[in-house]
Amino acid sequence: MTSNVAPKPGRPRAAVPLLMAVAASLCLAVPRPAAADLTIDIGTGQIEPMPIAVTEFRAKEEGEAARLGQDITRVVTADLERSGLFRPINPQAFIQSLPSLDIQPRFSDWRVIGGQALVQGAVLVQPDGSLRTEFRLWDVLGEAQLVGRAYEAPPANWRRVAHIIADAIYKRITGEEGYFDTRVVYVAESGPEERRVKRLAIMDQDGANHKFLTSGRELVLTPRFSPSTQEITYLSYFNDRPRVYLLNIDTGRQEIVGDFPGMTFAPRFSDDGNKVIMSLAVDGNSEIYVMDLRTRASARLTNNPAIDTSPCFSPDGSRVVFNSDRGGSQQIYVMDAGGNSARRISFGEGRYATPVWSPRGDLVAFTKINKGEFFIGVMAPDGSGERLLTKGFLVEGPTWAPNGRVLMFFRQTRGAGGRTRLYSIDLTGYNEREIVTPTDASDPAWSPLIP
Amino acid sequence: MRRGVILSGLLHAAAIAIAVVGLPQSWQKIDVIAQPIPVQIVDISEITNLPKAAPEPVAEEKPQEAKKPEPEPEKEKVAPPREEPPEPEVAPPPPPPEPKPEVKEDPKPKPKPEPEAKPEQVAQVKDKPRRRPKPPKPDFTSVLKTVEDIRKHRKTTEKSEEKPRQTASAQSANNIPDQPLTLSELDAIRRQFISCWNVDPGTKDLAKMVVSVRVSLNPDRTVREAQLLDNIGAGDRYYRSFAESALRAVRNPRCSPVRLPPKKFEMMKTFILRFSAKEMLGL
Repeated sequence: MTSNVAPKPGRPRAAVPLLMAVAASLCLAVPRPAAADLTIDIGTGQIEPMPIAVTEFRAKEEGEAARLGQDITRVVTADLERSGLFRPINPQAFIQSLPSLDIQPRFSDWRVIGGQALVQGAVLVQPDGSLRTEFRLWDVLGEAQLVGRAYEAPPANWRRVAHIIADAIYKRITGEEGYFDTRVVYVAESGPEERRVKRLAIMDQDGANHKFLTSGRELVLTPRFSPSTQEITYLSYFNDRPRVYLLNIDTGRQEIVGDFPGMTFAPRFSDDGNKVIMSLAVDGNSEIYVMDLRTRASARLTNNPAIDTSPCFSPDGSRVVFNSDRGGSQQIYVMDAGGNSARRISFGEGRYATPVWSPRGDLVAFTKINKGEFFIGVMAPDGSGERLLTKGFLVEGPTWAPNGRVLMFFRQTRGAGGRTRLYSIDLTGYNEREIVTPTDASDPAWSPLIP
Repeated sequence: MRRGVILSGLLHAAAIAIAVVGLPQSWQKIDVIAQPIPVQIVDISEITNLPKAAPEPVAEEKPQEAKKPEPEPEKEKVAPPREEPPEPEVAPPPPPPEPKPEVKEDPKPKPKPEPEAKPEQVAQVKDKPRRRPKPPKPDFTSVLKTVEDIRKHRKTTEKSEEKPRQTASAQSANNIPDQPLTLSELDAIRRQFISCWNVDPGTKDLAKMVVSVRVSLNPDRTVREAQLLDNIGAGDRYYRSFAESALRAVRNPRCSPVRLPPKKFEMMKTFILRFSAKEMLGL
């Protein structure tokens, strides 16, 4: 009995000093927390667009200025809404009217309708004919001005002014650079399958100001924007010889990028715009070449019997992500800019293609083909954290917005009469939207912010 | 054999002991249950005994006798007795009128600086203080006896029930240690702020971001101030946006007043919310 019972209390006894120590330490510790505040961890939140009130950009009198003010308001609102990160509040809910910038917002009026940010603006046609546009962005809950700016531009450029204002708002709230004042170049497709006409076309990122850049006589493929200039590079089958061309959008000047013996394709600019990296196929073996646009000197980066293609520089220019089947199937590899130490980064099921390094540097977007389905996905440059954002019968050709936040790609629906259209999607996988184009569209390329 | 006999003897003795000790306990417990009813009445009586304050037992007896006519039905429902007790006794009536105006005055000036006197908000503010004074009374009944004792002392020092809540800072030392926030109460606050926090899951390096905000409450538990505790580096605009989203969560009207039992206001006048997206990202 006693011998059985004794050990049981014995354990508590052994623990007593420890408990006392703990208790003592607690007693010692208590006064400090009492003086300090209780901390509650908030480990998650809502993924909702931010409610923002965009009031009309008012002019002092009726007329052209008033009309431009309405147009600017409409475009700013549409930009913010389309980003998926903002939810513009219906103007009919507004309580306070803000006819001019001189009037301070009554923040309670905007809180009541659920607003967290408020945009207040004004337009004025100046004596010299230029349009002066001002705006203020207010933090409704914090009751402080976040941004206030004024722009002067010819009235004809009102649309760009609106995009620039939307960019300023977007940047201040999200911390990301904006991407509204950008353009998209893509391949406009029309005609029957066997006689498909493919033309280069360009438009604002919201689909406005659409125009064709080439006539359609030659087949064009893979247009890419220079990250630093308003130039594009693309592949054209001029006289049935596939060559990489350089086209200045503003001047219309077009030139060939190196006259290589074989077939060049999949060109892409380096981030500083000084180099073009591309594939060159000779005798059925394609290798990756880089060409300095200033000196026209080219260098081969890969030397492998496998197919190496779809190269893309990292934003700092130190590394290159590309596509290779050297391991047996099509996968994504990363090497340094000199062509050394190539390392496979894609290890999921299926094949991977068209890797594109994010301008933000933190992700690589790609097309994935698995079990007959196409996916657009992203992964970290070391291959970790693969996420598939969208899928379809055919989704392909991701291109990054200059802020590295939004992707555009094209989607083809199944069937002979299937339509091919451009879509944008947030890198979170939310907010997939069609970009309206007049014809079928493929191979989009996003411009940098217009300087 | 001996061991067996001894063991059985001990076990029997233990069984009897348990029976003897246990049964009376159960009876006692019943008594204990009966007791709280008079104790509730004691609370009411305290108001009358404000100046005396010292003898607790005396206080209990007097109120019971004096209020028996009215309070008997009140024993079950807590709210009515409180309203009534002040009326019969001469001393209490003055205090209630005093606190009421105070409550109204205080909330008004607070909203004013922010909104500029909206009818809707003012109305809300008025409603809230009216409701708030009531809940503290019911809470009393649910509180443990020890807490009640502590509150008695408070009352004696500060006369009215409503005053202490507003001037609470001075008394904070008295009741903090006794009622830490329960897990469910913490959870309620956490859930409330989660519902107010808009996270942008696409922010660069979101997984690394943590920001702490000190929340200061008004006595009506609305948020008075949100203060960032972390230094926002001038360079990292992503982090600034993240921190600002946390501030917006704290200032979100949906999170004011904070879902905090009124009696726990003292210990939660200020607290810290530490925002991160770790759960959201599965970290």
